Amino acid sequence: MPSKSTVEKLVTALALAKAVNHYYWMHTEGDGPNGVEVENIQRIISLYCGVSIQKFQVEGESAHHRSWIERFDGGKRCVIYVTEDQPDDWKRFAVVKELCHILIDGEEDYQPDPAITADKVCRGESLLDDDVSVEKVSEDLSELTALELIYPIEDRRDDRALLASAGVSVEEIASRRNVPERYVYRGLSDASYNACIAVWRMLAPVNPDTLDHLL
Amino acid sequence: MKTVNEQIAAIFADKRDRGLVDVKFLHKNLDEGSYPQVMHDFLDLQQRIKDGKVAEFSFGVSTLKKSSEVLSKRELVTAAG
Repeated sequence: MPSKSTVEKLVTALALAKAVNHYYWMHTEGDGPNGVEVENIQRIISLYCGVSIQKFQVEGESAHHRSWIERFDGGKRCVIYVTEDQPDDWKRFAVVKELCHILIDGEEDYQPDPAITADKVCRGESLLDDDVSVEKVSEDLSELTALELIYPIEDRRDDRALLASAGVSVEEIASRRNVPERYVYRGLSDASYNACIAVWRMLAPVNPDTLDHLL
Repeated sequence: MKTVNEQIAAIFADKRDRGLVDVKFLHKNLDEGSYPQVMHDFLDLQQRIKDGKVAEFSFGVSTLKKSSEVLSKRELVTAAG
């Protein structure tokens, strides 16, 4: 069984995703021509968390790294790096995943030594392990939260109906949504979708209703 | 000759002196035992940044507005029936 703190962190992460999704539609034009608008998600998270965010692309190929985030000044200044040699859908997901660290991590999740984090994620730990490391929990929860932002439950509901009624493939949906196939498969699976719906129903309305006081 | 991990440790000690508190990753092609290659690859990326092979990046333009200034697309769709 996962520890209680892991479950609590999961519910908190989904509640934060719900808040960002609400503010995304309340305070921005929402989706763009390429699907969910990553820049709008970034602006909402920046405002909501009170954090400045810069993004950089690193030239060339990388065998093992899609992206990473470096946080400075107590976490109030963040720099996200994304590697050049990957498709646009992966760059989008990678950046949103790093943005989710800003959203969901507490100071107890901070790890300034990249060797320790890399070591933990290379060990094959599972989020459901009793003694899972905080580094692995942070990585997995940010990935789950990113899925909720870049492929939100409303879109998944529509796409599940499409899959059931029309001759549409998961690959076609992934292309249209500009989301990596891996995460479309995961998001449309019964287990992921039903769990998300169940948690979504438990969550309270977003409070405060708007971010006008911060604008 | 410093090892890869020692070189990364030196880079990040310097960054910690400049206020770094946290680093997180999204990896690919990971399996048990890939740690040495992951660190070698990360050192290579840090060197590229140092060499200026990096550029500020965005996906487009954001449209942040007061709630009174925007009617969400969902409301428009609902209003249109």
